[in-house]
Amino acid sequence: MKRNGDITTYAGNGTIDHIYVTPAARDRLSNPTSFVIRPEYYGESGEDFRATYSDHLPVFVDLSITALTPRQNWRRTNFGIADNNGDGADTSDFDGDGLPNLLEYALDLHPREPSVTGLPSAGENGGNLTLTYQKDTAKTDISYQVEASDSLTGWLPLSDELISTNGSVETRRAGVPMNAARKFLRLKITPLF
Amino acid sequence: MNTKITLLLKAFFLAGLLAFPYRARAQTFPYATPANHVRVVAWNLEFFNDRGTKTSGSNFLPDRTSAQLDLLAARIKGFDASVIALQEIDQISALNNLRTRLNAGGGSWQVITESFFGGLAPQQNALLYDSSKVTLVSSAFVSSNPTPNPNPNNIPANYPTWTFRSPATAVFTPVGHSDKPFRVISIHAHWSDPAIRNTEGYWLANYVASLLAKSAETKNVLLMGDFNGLTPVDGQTPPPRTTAWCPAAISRTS
Repeated sequence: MKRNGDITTYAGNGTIDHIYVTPAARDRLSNPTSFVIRPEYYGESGEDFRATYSDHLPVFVDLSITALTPRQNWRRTNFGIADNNGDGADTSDFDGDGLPNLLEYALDLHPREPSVTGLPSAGENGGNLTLTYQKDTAKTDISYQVEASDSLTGWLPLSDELISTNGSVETRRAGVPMNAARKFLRLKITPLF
Repeated sequence: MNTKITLLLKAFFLAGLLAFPYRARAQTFPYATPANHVRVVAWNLEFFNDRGTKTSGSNFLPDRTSAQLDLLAARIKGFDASVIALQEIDQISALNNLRTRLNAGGGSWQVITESFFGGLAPQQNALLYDSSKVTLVSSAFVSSNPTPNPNPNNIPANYPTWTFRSPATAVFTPVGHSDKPFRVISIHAHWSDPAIRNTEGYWLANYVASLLAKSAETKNVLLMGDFNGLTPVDGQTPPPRTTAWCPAAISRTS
């Protein structure tokens, strides 16, 4: 019996010092809660496999079989977890710049620092009101759609055109004729999965 | 205590035993394995199963009873695990006995143990896996003497070879996902000498790095087991953290 144990819990449940993983394997770990120590689970009286000491306890790791989506990878890179919750949630605005994470992700903005570079830009071209934006085709888990409205209440999708390409990033532009008192354009990002 | 009262209490106790016979319950682990995940567990079974052969000191404890072994099997079933990295396996017969209990009623558990298992190598590492959940690709025991060290002067004269607690390693793929291999390495570090322990760690880290350098090897590696880090709950001071266990190739979870 070794009283200096295997399951090293420096700060109680969940702080683990005895599982080492490669970066590739780490990417397959669903989230930090996959590492679980449950000493009390073995504390039932009359059972021999209770935790007599801090060691000799089982430790659990859950490996994800499916690869992370591009958005999950982005969350892990920027917020440390792949899950859609907390600071990494699609609707969270960690840097307070008015752009939720889903937009920061779609437009390749920094989610932890306020930023405007890379936002869609409005313009005029040949009598049309235009919206130019950058679409990253590698982000297969979202869709980009420019929509138009006269009143901000009803929105209609617009087709857009490819202006230029830089790697996986396309610069695209959509436009509508300026034939009404007011015209509004917006870029809508929708998670696909 | 009054004799009559004592007898009465004994009678109540016996009546209680008869009224609530022991049963091993497959208590499910509180956290269910998420969908599309495989669960890997590390567990030091603590002198499994020859503790009765220890005759003195803190090592002396009675052997597990048949009922306790049933309970252990029930617990493992409740884990819903695919692979279990085991430490302190003293008897191959005990491990096979456990597998028989796991498979009673239709299980698919397999064991990976060292071929020279026995009196030559007590406290061995081993692997249990559920072949209905994962497919074994390859397995090995590291039996070479781990001599590499960045500072050879740090290698203790009494450095053990891996024939003592040889790391057990195997590559598995989840059933239905043959393109998702992962390697599990079950280890048990030296319990008393930090210098030896760190040298073992350094060797293991480089072992992992050498695996990762091979293009055909899976990059998903879990090094799990009994690292013999001291714990405050044991009333001992944790050792200083060392980089010996953490080269760039791998990273610690904490």
